Amino acid sequence: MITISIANQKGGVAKTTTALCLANGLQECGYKVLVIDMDPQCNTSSTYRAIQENTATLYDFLHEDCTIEEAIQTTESGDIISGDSNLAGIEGEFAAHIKNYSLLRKALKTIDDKYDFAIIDTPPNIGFYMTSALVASSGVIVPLKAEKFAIDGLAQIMANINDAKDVNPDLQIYGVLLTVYDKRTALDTVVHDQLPEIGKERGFKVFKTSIRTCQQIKEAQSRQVRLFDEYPNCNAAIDYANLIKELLEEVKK
Amino acid sequence: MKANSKNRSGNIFESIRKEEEKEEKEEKAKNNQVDTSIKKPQQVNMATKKTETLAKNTNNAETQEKPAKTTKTEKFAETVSNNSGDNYLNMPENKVDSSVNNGLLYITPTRKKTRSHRKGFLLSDLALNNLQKEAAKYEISENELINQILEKMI
Ligand SMILES: Nc1ncnc2c1ncn2[C@@H]1O[C@H](COP(=O)(O)OP(=O)(O)OP(=O)(O)O)[C@@H](O)[C@H]1O
Ligand SMILES: [Mg+2]
Repeated sequence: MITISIANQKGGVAKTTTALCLANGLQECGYKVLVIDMDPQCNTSSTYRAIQENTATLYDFLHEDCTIEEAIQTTESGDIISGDSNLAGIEGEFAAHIKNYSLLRKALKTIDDKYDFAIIDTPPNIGFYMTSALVASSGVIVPLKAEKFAIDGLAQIMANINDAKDVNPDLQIYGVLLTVYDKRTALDTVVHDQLPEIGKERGFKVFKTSIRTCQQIKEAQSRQVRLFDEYPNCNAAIDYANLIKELLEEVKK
Repeated sequence: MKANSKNRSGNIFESIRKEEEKEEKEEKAKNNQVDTSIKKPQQVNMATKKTETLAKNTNNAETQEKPAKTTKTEKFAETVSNNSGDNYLNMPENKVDSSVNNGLLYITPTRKKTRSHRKGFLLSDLALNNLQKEAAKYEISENELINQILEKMI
């Protein structure tokens, strides 16, 4: 199983969107995919229509009230470990015990042969949840939106990923992914054109594919349906498919 | 030891590694103990129990070993080159070594009761909008705002 974290401490850069589309696209390729929603906002879980009431979620797993397998829900969109709004208030409690940071990593090893990919959606801050995800992952995709200061923020997440190699030496940066890309916008074009160069300079990979801005993404999310089921020919679906091609090359290395 | 209380996260990852190393050491020590206790006939019951732990621990140790990178790569190479859409877990050669894990890890699924007091909720778009506005007004996160509201309520 290849475990991929979608991480950037910056909010609204399409982490959740990328997690959803990546999972969906990999399913389309015939892979078995598990999605793990580590963001207390639970956007991924909502889109999957996962339930949080009276069922085991990530909260119960991290509380060691259930095994990781028991926390997996099978929905129409696929298998998911649902987030839980209770995760927000309890982060400090989890973080108080260092051994909790390894819970996910250890548990994922027990289901290593059940899935080809685990995709982890992370919250927009470097806390217990993102740290646990980095400890448990084979690699990271860093979505980036062309915004003022976006590149500055990159330095921090990259440093964080590098620090994580202390406990997870094989952790890779699969690449930085430019999202919500609109070539009619000056800033987007500048970032799009310069990002590969910046990556070279600072030693991180940038995906050749950028994800173009696309109305169908929003529609799929609000209708809680999978992009490739409903809008397989929209720009974003095409771009995410290309991303997956690149990613598969990357994980083969 | 909150990760988010630091600017740089280096220390937290170092602490996690040390904790993992400590646990591994403890488990190894436990395993060594078992070997000697099994030999004493008057301790049969204990021994059986400990053997179970041993089995578990050995298994843990096994799973904790990093799978050789090449195997993964090969698996993917196969999947991709086959291009059949079939998932590699179904291939016979990939099924073989997983039996050990299955036998030991899934023996005793002990589902404890999910906490009854907890209640999850999802916000409507309107509520979320208002929440975000309020949070922005006080320059705190939405979660922090919810926590503060809840505290006031109790
Ligand atoms: N390619 C795209 N085209 C148009 N809109 C997009 C695209 N990708 C994402 N969005 C929209 O941008 C918004 C933010 O995306 P998303 O929720 O995925 O970001 P995030 O990084 O997960 O945010 P957070 O940090 O809050 O978790 C959403 O409304 C989403 O629908
Ligand atoms: Mg999100």
